[in-house]
Amino acid sequence: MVWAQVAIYLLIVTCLGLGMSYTGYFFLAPSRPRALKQEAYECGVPQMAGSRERFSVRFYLIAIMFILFDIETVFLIPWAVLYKQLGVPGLVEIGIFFAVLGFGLAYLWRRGGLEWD
Amino acid sequence: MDPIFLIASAVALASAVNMVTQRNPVYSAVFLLVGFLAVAVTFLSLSAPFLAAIHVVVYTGAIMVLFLFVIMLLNLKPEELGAEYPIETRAPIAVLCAAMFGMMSWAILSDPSLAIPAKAPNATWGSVEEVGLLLFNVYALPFELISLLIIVAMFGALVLAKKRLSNVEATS
Repeated sequence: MVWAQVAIYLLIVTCLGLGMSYTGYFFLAPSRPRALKQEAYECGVPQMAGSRERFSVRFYLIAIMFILFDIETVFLIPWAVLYKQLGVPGLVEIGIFFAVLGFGLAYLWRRGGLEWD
Repeated sequence: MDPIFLIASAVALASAVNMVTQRNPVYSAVFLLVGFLAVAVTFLSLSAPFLAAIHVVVYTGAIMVLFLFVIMLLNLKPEELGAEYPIETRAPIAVLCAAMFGMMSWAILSDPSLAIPAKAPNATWGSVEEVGLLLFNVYALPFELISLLIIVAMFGALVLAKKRLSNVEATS
């Protein structure tokens, strides 16, 4: 039962990590808070603005495209594993799959979907 | 029952409850992340390693990024969250959800095919090879249709997120 070993290992690691952190935090570290110490670390310089910036909607398009091509890659994995076994029919199948998505990418490109205007 | 399955499903349920009860959407997203990972562990214990890996890659990787982007786009500050709904509003919704959950559980539990104990799958069941063989032989047509589904999602995102699409005639 290999997963039981993994689970026990994870449990021990989690307890060890949390235990060490909390022991250090509660018993060892001197607590001298200062305003500058409480700030989020931003390359060592004082903060310019809050971290809660409103993102541009353009990032959303990038995120959607990332998911879609992520899913495409996921379907590539079983084909790559079975490459020799599937032979030419498998190559044709994945070829059609990629041709359709390649057409999508080409259309996206042409319509300026990848531009940052 | 498998203790790992029990632990993982308990973690998944606890994080799901925490996800819906948090006021701050970013905390909800983090609990959703924990829930996704716990569900991936249940997939592993149900001998579906490929599904578990895909679940981590697509859901905890990509879908979570999308959720976080939506939260960042809306940029809800704690003072903008608005007042909590009163108990008169929340109670009927809770009852409705509980009723729906009850109906679903009843429908699943009364399924006669579940009374027969499932026979143990062989060692390679659920592996990448098994899934791939099914995907490229038996389910070849649905597999090709997935590409059309992805392309439709691509165009939909383009139309929704782009204010001004460049004209094909204008660019060529």
